Amino acid sequence: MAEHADKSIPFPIRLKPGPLIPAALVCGGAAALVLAAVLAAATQGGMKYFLHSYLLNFCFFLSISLGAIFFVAVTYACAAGWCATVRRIAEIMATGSAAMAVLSLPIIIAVFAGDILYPWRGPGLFEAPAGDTILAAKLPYLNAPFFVARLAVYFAVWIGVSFYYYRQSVAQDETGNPDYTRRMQRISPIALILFAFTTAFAAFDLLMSLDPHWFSTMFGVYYFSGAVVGFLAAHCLALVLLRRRDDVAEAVSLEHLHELSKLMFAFVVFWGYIAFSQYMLIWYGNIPEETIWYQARQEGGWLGVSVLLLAAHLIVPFLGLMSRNVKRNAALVAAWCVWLLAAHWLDMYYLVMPTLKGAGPAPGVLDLLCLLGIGGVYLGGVALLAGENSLVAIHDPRTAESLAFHTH
Amino acid sequence: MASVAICPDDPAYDDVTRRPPLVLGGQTLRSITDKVCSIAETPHTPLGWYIGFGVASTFTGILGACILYLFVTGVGVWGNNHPVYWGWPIVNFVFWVGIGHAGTLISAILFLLRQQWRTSINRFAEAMTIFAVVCAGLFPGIHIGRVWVVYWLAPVPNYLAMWPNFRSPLLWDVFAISTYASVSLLFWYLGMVPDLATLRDRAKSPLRKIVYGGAALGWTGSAREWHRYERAYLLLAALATPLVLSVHSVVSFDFAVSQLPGWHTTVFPPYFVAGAIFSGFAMVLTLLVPARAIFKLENLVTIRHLDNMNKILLATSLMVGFAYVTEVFISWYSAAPYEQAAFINRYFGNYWWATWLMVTCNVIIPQTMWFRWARTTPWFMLIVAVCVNIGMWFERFVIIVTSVTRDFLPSSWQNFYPTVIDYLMLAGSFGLFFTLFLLFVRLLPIIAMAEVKAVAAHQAAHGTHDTDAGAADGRPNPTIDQPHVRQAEPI
Amino acid sequence: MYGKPNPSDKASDAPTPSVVGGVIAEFDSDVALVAAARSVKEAGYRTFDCFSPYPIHGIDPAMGVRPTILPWLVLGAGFVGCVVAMALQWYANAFAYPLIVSGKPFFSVPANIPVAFELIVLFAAFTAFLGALALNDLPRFFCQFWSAKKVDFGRSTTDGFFLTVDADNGGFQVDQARQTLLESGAATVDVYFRPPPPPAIPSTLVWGGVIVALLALVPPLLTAKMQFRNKAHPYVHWVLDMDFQPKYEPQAYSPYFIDGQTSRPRPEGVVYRTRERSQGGYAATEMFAGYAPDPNAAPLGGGGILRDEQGLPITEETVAARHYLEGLILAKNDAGLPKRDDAGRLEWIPASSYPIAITDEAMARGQQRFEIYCSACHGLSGDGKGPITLRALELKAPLWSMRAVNDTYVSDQAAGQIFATITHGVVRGGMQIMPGYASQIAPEDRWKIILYLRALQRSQNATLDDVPPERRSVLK
Repeated sequence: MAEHADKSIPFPIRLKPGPLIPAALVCGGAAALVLAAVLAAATQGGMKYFLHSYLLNFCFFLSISLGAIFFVAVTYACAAGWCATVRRIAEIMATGSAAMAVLSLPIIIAVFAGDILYPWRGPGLFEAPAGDTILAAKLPYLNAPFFVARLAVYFAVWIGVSFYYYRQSVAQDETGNPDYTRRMQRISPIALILFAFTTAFAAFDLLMSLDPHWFSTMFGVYYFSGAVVGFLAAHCLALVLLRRRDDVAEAVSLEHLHELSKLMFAFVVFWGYIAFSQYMLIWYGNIPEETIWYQARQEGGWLGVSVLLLAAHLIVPFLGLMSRNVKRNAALVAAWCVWLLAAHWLDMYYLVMPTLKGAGPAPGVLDLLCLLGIGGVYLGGVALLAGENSLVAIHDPRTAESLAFHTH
Repeated sequence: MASVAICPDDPAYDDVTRRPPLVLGGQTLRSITDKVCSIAETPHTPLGWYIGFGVASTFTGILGACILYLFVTGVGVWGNNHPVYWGWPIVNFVFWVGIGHAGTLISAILFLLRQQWRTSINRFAEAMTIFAVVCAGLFPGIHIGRVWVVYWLAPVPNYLAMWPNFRSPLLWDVFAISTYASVSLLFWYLGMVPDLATLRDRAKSPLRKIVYGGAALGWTGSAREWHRYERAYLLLAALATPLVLSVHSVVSFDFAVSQLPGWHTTVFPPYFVAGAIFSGFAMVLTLLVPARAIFKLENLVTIRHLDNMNKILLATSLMVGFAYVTEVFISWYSAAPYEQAAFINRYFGNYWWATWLMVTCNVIIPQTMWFRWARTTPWFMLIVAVCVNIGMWFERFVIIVTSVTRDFLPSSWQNFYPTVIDYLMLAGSFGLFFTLFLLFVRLLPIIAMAEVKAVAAHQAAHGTHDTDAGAADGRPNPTIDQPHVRQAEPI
Repeated sequence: MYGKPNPSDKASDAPTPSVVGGVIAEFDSDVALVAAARSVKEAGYRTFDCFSPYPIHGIDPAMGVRPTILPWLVLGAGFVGCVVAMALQWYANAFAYPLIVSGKPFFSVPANIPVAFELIVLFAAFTAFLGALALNDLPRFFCQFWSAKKVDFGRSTTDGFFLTVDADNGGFQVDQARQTLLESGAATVDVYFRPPPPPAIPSTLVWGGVIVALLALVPPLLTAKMQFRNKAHPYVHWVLDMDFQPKYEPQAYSPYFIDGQTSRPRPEGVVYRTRERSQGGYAATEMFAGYAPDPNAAPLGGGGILRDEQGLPITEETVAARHYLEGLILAKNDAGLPKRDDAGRLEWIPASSYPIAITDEAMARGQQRFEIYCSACHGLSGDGKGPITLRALELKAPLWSMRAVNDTYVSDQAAGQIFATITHGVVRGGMQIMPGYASQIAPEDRWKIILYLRALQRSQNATLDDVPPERRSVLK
């Protein structure tokens, strides 16, 4: 029963968005951001709010690309066959890190400008804020030039890894030479090591240093777990939407959606485990230096957001995604993906916004504009990078296995 | 043709166009059964087994004597003293519990990830889990001082009208370890029922028939039985996966809920879990490499199986290394003098030798597994596995002892000195482990025959996915024959 | 029980059971078995089963096996486990015996989650295991398929594939079933028989078992009843645990003394140890210990020997001692003599004077001691806003109130009364609302604290004139 030998994808599946759609997305996004900045500049304290909102949306879309890099690297490391047909989409989403590199400019400008975003910015480039002995001790790490240099290194790694995989995979579409896969497999452990360190330290830099007196060794893992959930949700959603095309629907079956939903379920639980561990250990130790971060997220109206996050990111999706029938229903899967993306956004909101001391949770126009703005530029960039390449890897050595795949 | 792609030196070993065969040597269902059952069925126990059993039970006896001495004399027989009140017993406990986790990973997590190569090693690994958990559970049980009131740990009404303190991670441990032991036992036993039925049906002596028959619960292998069995197995695997994460996380909570620098750090739960899987895989390799050679199981536990296990070993080693780097970085970043002092003390203080031994054994030596040669050479991987075991024991030692010997109050600073009983109990626990393990090897099916047969059948049916770069003659790779049924002979 | 037919057993040739159970067929391969299952199902048979040494892919749809309800049972058990865990933890730590652990709430949700998770998994796992066994009808100790002689059913667990069609199917005919199976590709077909019905358990055995089971319940129930008695000692000492200690208790017999008493009277010349040896320490103890003081000591009162209730003469030393150690002095009448009431009893009243030298060092010492011992509750300025009081009020701890010591309520009290308060604490309504500090503060220091306290009290109603000129600049 060598049934697999028969299955293959005869022709590349090209999206062909044309030059117009990506350009429209990018310009529209940029316009939204400019509008947001103008609105923010008009109000008192608005610029600070805008930059925080920008940061949270930046981290949201960045996490999707990072999750994609992880997915691609890990599936190559495990020599997984089931995902051969869905992996190209992930590779394309991973290359979105290039768009994020461009989008990081406002953050870099803010860091150089002063302490409007990061409180550890002192009066000078190599000065800690006055009177703060703790930040003075952290100065060798928390200073603007080193921060930006690190950011550059992170993006270099992410763009390097994601483009390497994308290029190799696309090249394999032409000839089907298994050497490409062999190379991608060999490089995957190194990619994973680089990914782990850059993601963890990026989380420390971008998000943890918003509260520069606070620290948690788990924070990198926390951001990673949310990133994988966000990526899987975005990935599944993209697949469900793309499956409207017949050629995609032949390549990507309900089996793949089921499998990805299982992974989504697993990582929702994993996120819950990481979030709970971090919370419980800090709660239990009850050390004011550490609890202050959670206290900010439990007072002034933020308690509701915390409880909502727990419910929306863990409890409800856990119960909802448990059923096998749900995981095999494309419409329901898409609905849960949207839910989880919203929950992941809420997670970013919960991480970033309470640092604006004194204000309760009040999402508004600026947040929406930043979301649409960054999202527009990101999606436009991704669409641009997808270009004329096939959306499904047609000559992956494991394509046949993937097409014949059925899960438990 | 059957030996294609199994030898690591063969360039086709890396062939990504086909799935490698997992069962080699032209096995039939009967040959698989004969191979595995012969170990338990042979009337002549090999001399090596007796020697091993003798040594192991001697150490078990030493353990028993030490425990008796401990009960009669008191906890002072150990080196536990100010300020390290929690010494080797807790190190040994965390060490053994960690080792147990690999079994559940191989059984449950690799099952959920559909890694078919696990079927040759999962029985072995699950047994190792059970025995490791037995050794682990021993230490908290005996280190409480007044062992005769250990039932106070259980939430049952007593005449003191007192209840256990559910806010203590030590009590969470009681629940976690009990649950883990029970669930692992259930998982192991459920998986073994079909194989016990095989042994029952092949048994010649009445004693074996009764014992294996009772244990097999009347299993006949009907499709309906298999259906429920498979669902239960899947459910247990799905339950065991978060369980294994939670158990070692709860163990890590023992330390992380405190306020001690070096203990109170939020990354402990996943770090401990990664370390547990790491040490567990090392122990599985330590057991598997000799067993494979002694019982000639190379066709069922192939070089590729060992290769995969070493890759997981390397991956978890890197995770542990990542945790070390994160801890050190954040201790600097925190600018908290106690945190920084704790880590400077850990790496350069009195126990610097233990810490660097730990780093060498856990992070540096496993890096040899980047090389194909290292991953596919049994004697070398055995050495690395033993080093990892040592390194992981030292990791727990370093965490516990370095933080406590240099805590907040300088007047409390004092070194830790283990006693003879500490050493003997550690050695004795290995004796207990190996005693149980040798009994398992002698009496029970050490490979999950039913699962291997399913893999073999799948392999025969589906070939090895020769696609574009397929075999020249287009035939599926005949690495397993369809079983031939003899005409039933008149009895 | 049917086991493998024993080749040497001639009796097995005799066809003792006569009820046909069904037809069993052996197949060459798993593929053949699946195909046969499909055709048997299409032929209309309902009660049939397939046997293999491993689960065959695709056999469930071929046979029409419906998905089992086991996952739902497991889900339900998981919920039950969660509820049980939460209820247990609430009951144990928040209701039955509320336990304060480092200020965490009695029902601490974050701390309760690990145990809840473990019990969810435990209940679910046991349900999965036991449910699978129960649904599979295991354990089962007989198997009717062994009665078929032409097939070796034992191979079903090694390398054989079998299909059985049960006689329970409607319209079952042995030959028809045999034909269907042969057409589906069976290698061998045979008939199997039902096992004989097992003999009934004799009623004596059943009743015996019931009685034994009931009797077996008696010891644990009795023990449980005993363990919940209100008496101090349980009847049954399962664990000795220092319950019977080899020590001598008061009122018990002692073989070491002629009078046989364990409790011994005080020997002659025993002197209590106190911290203060000055100012009548010894004399006071002698008086309170019931020993007669020096009868030649000068009595008070200017004539006649002043004696207390016990008839012991009261000397200057005793008065000084009582003043020093208890803050009490003898009440004097207008003539300056000790007052006696109608019953002739002397009256001891709180002293207003200090039995210590009033110096700057004494005041400084008093300030230091006040700040160490008293300010935690009463505040540094004596206004009652000490950190302990504030926290206790925040926690709404019972019996706490803010007590200022720098106000008129305390300043109106004589020094001796304050001394008594510091020594013995305050008891109100049968409850000790302030502890006594006698064990922590020596009498000398207590007087010095009172000295400082007076200064604090005076500071509350002071005017600028009360502040010495050289210190006024500090106020600015």
